[in-house]
Amino acid sequence: MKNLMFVSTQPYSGKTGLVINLIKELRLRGRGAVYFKPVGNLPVPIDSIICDQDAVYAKEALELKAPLEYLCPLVLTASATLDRLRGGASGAVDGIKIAYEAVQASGGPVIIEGPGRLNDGRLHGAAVLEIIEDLEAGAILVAKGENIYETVDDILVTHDRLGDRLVGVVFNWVRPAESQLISETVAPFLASLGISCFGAILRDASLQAVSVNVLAKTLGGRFLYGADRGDAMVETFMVGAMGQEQALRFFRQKVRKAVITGGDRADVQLAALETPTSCLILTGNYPPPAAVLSVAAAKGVPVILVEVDTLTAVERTESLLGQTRVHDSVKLDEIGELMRDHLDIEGLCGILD
Amino acid sequence: MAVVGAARESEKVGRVVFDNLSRTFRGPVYPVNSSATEIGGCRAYASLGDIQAPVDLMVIAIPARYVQRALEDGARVGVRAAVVISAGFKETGPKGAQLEDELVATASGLGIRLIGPNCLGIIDTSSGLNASFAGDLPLAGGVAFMSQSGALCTSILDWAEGEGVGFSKFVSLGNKADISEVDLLPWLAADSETKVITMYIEGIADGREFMNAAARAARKKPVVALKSGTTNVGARAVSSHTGTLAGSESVYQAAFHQSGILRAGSVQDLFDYALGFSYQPIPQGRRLAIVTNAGGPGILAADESERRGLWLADFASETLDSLRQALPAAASVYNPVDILGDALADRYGVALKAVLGDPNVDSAVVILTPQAMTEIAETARELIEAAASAKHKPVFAAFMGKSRIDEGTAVLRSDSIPNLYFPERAVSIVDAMVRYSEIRSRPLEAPAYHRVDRKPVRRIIEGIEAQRYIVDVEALSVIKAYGIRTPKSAMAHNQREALALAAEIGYPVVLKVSSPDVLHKTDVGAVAVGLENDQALRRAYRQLLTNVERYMPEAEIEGVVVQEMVAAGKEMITGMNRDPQFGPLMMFGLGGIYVEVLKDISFRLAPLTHTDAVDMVQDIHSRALLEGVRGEAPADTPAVIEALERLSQLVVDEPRIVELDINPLIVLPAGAGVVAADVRILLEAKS
Repeated sequence: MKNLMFVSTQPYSGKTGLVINLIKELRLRGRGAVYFKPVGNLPVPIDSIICDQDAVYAKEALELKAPLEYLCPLVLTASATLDRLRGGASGAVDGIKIAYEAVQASGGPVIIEGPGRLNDGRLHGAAVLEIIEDLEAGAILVAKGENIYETVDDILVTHDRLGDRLVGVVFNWVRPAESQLISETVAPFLASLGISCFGAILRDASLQAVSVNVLAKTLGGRFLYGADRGDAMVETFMVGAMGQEQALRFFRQKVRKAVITGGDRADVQLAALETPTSCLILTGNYPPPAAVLSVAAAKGVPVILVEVDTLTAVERTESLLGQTRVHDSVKLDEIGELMRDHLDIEGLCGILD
Repeated sequence: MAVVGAARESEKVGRVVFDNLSRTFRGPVYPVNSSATEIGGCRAYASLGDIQAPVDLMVIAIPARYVQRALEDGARVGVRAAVVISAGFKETGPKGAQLEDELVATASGLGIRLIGPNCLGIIDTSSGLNASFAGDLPLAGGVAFMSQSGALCTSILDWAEGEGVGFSKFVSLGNKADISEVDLLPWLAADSETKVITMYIEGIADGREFMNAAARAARKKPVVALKSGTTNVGARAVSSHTGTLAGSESVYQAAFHQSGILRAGSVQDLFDYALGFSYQPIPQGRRLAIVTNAGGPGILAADESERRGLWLADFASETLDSLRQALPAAASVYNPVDILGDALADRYGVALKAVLGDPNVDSAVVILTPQAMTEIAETARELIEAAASAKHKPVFAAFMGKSRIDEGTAVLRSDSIPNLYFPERAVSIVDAMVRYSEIRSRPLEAPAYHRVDRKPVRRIIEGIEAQRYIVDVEALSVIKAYGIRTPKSAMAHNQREALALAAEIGYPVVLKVSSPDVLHKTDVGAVAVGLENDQALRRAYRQLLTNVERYMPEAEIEGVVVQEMVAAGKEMITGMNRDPQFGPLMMFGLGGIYVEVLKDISFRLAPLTHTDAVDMVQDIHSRALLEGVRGEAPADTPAVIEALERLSQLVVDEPRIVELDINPLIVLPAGAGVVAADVRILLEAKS
């Protein structure tokens, strides 16, 4: 197999981290692998050009020389879709070919990151099935589901769609209790269909975490204390509006959390500071009493003041924590670590010619 | 004394302090001011180093950023003590907090102890030392007062002046950066001029040390505290005012009770108690006599006595005889003694002497309502004379009224009998004093200790790094190692294992899904009790797993616990919640499904003494259920007490346990013990 494409049936399944780390592993083995994301599903404007966020990050993390428009030649945007629906010609397939030629000029294998879903790009003639055929790639499905039973069905449907091009599966976000089931029962079953299982990465809340900085930015907040501690990670959040005694018991239940409460609730804020808390988010633009900031400083916990009300802050935080991206070097290294621990990296490398 | 920051302008804080000190202090007072040559007629010194004489105390009232330098200057000339009045520290935010940390570090490095910062100052009436920016030196007396609120101090000084209350020491503690109640309690306990220690508290940084200091002080003299922020809204106000958690009401109630601090419910209570302790002897018992010239107020006093657990004294027959002889036929000679509305001073005198002479009387409250003929001042004098006949029994007056009454109040005050104006206030002082006499006579008691096997617990806890709940079999093994009986229990990973375990344990059994995510098992149908045979177990096994999958699909299931079915008993709950300031707060109460509604629970701070554990059981309203109701056999209360003691030992030994719940604790009939049927422990991350 000349190239490998990591695909998924749902977004946020963990492809970017796997692809970047696999490229690093290949490089360690003296193989100049490169990154390519033919169809981007995460548009972001860079210098007035629409690029894909993952490609932007991969370019930085892997120090890639190729320009962004080659690393991700087709970015799915509303206007590109409308244009095509109104009968505009799609140059996407040609564009992808040109970009691919440029990217793989070095001659090493190309590790391709698929879009969020198998179907993404179909309108432009660039769904996953079309790409793997055009680029002579084998597909690795990054399988992530609520439970193993759902995941098995996803794998089978993917197999129906991609046929022999589906060479293997990597399970991600697996519950500890399921890992034995995967290795003893699911993997042999998949092998009988010609699908190799390259391992299962266990759930790790820290991978879903976001930094305090990102949280502050998303909420449009301003640091009242601890701007220099914005790289602390937040895995979950709690909302406090109860009396101090209940607050203490409640806040003790979770670690590495953001506590969202009103700026006027000094009792809740202090209770949160007594428990493992990554940051305080104070809503409604009410600054807290100075004495509370003193305590936060003594404990080294950042305090962020936001203008939105508690409900809005909760909604934004919730959506942020569910859909984290790996665009962070610490997290990327953590994934690399997990891959070395749980995946058959030699096996993956071995698929490539 | 040196005042750093003594200013030329008479309204500046530093100048007010200097003037206050100069006016009454019996020793030299040096103004320190870098830009003046003379302050208020005294030579000013540019720095402490220029004073060519020893300085015992420096009072600092300059901007916060210069305070450290003043300490350094002071240290060079041998000053060892400072009162920092300056504000601009922790109360102003992180920069101020940093300044305060540096201040404390500097002071400790220089060997200087300091009061404040951000305080009103200190007063010692015996030496005329008024190092504060409050008003004039207060009256000298037996009350020591320390307060976290400076503003409250000035009001109290003004009020005390009007009430004739005298102070020995007066300390505004401010931010308590260095010296706190913990340092002052032993010192005030040893101070010969102080008869009663009073304090106003918003928050305490180190609760355990505070309790130890208070317990020691309370053996020597009464300690009375007013704690604010005991409601949710009050706690919020304390938090925003001081940056400390106010602490829960149950924590402070336990802390005050266990360390022998008398709790005042209001500022008025605080000073009523102070009045009582500084002017009257401590009663020997609970037996109170009431003498009144009006029926209604006498009844009010009697009601208040019973509410507070005082006893209306039963008079000896000699007392009744002499009262009958001295009083008109219509008078009531029984307690409360009603000497009728037309009583003149002499009738008061005779009646009070008679009851105070009675060996069944420990204290007296005298009520007077001003009728047209009532001789108010003369009655006050009769009271003084009668009280002198029984010097060890306290007498309090409730002369009711104001404009006509006050001539009597003045006479009473001249001989240390406080007039409280209302009978309830007078009774509440007697009650406080009786409680103190009981506190003082409490035997000294070490925490309860039982031989336990710490090893298995250490092994489990050491093996856990991050914060997590310990539940089911593992949690039971922790409790068991501390000698509390637990049901036989083991984890099954499939139905076959569950059947084998049930055979080993013996039917009937309980089945529970074990999952760190399922903390309220009954809510999601994760428990089945009373399974009698294999068939019932098989059915329950499938049902439980289906329930959890349906109601909590996210839950991580570790297995299914098969547990011995405990014989029926009384369902109680016990547990611990670690308070950030006071440490492990133990809880005990009635269990079952109504626990949230009835809230019949008692609290004590661990380590528990045996008496504390007994009190915890005695304090709940449903203790009668344990004793057996309507012919039921009594439950094994001694085993409950022992279990509380062992639990206390566990949470003291293992500080990483931040929460622990045993629910239910099944109490079997007398002699059969208790069983901890379900245990949940929250362990803090390793630090």
